[in-house]
Amino acid sequence: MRGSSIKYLVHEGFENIRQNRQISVASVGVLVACLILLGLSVLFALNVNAMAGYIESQNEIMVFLDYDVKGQDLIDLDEKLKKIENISSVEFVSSDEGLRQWMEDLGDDGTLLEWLINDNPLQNSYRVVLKDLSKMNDTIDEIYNLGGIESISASYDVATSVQSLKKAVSLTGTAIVIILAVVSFMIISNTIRLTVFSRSKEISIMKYVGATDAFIRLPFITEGIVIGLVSAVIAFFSIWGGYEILSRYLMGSDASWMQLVYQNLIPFESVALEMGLYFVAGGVFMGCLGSFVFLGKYLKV
Amino acid sequence: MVEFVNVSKKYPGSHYALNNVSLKISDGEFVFVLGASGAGKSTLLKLILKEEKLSAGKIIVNGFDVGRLKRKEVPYYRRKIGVVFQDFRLIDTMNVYDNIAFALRVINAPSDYISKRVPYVMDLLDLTAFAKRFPEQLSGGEQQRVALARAIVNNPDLIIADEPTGNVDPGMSREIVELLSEINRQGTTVLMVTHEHSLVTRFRHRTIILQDGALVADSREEAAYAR
Repeated sequence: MRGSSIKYLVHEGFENIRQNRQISVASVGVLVACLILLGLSVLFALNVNAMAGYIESQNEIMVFLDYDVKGQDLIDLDEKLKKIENISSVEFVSSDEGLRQWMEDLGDDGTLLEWLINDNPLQNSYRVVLKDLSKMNDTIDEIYNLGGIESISASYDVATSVQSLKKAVSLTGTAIVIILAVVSFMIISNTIRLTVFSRSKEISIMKYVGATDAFIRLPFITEGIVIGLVSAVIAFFSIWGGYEILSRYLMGSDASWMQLVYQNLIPFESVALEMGLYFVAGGVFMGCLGSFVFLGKYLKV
Repeated sequence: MVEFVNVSKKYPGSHYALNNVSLKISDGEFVFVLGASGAGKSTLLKLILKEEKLSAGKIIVNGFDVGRLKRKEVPYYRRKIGVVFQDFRLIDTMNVYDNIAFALRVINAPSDYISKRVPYVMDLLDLTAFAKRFPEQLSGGEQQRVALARAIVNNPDLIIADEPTGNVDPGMSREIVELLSEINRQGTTVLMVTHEHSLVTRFRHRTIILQDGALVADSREEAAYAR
């Protein structure tokens, strides 16, 4: 194909967008809306997961030892605990340390426990953080099997609810993304069909005067790519802006849970590149797909 | 040259639109195709343009076996045929110059050729004054002249005109057929479908008549028979 022809065809693509302003704007609008919804669902799911991860990391189990575990036995137990696969950290809390913390927790009332200092009834214990909460039961059994364990206190409820939250979010997140992708595809394909239909006369004339299919397609592809790119850029910056506003709002809020959410918010920069690439690829793909699939029918003349 | 050899066309679930038609049109001829609506005139043109597939028989146009053309070859085949429609089929968003140039641009013609050829054809059809106007600013006859200009701008061997006078007033009808006759005198074969008997009697070109998909009369054969 001649250079001047390609220039002409690309120019035609832009000209088409200008002449079909309404449809072009509608296409961009639809594409932007779909991309924003998709982007928001992904960000939401990522953040809920991050939040769940944070809660998980805060969830410790306390392992209380028998009174007679001392000296070499204690050193052995310490080593065995650290070897358990699912344990991410182990912190020894001596009975004295335990009492001190207990008193600290009580604040001013802590003095009430002072009489216990010389005759400490507490056991030595370990503060253990698990890697994977879903394997909590197995890990607890494993710890018991080491011997010398009096009791283990673990918050099963938090563990199970965090687990089910993570599962629910990844399931619904995936479902929402799939549904949105299908809906976007349907809406966009209709818009493209409309664009092609509105120019079916032009296409039929091109066919009659002997234009090749490639020649007819190129302006539509140009148009599709431009609309896809523009939509991707608008959607990307809208999400970015919205996300920044949200994080500023959370940061400035007095509510402690909002502060917590803010501290665990995924920075947009960490997903920006990937999201931007997906948006551009998705937008361009949709644009091109339209000119291939829906133009085909009109090319059969 | 256009040659139909026992050509039939049957649409799915329908009767024969064309039934065993044989016909020969030599280079440089002007032929009227007459017939009531549904007689098969449009089908005849669609088959020549390879818009429809033939059901049986063989069509040869400009040396191409139309039935055997591959999809990829069709655009190149069509470049040697100019088409004029009853409804003009101009692009509303393009001015007269661009509507004519369009036919050259889409076949990848060099731009310096386009800028010489389009004014020449506009001058030929007396359209120079309208170059910057848009189709809606023109009368039916003027629009059809633009369509005609578009049909001849890439020097076709054959012009196919489907009721080109259907949407214009009688005076303009004559002018359009005169223009087609002039183009024909320059050597281009013209095949014009019409149902206006007045034009046929006035212009005295070869006339073939279709009825219910069959070729029922051909003035050339009748003339030969009369001799």
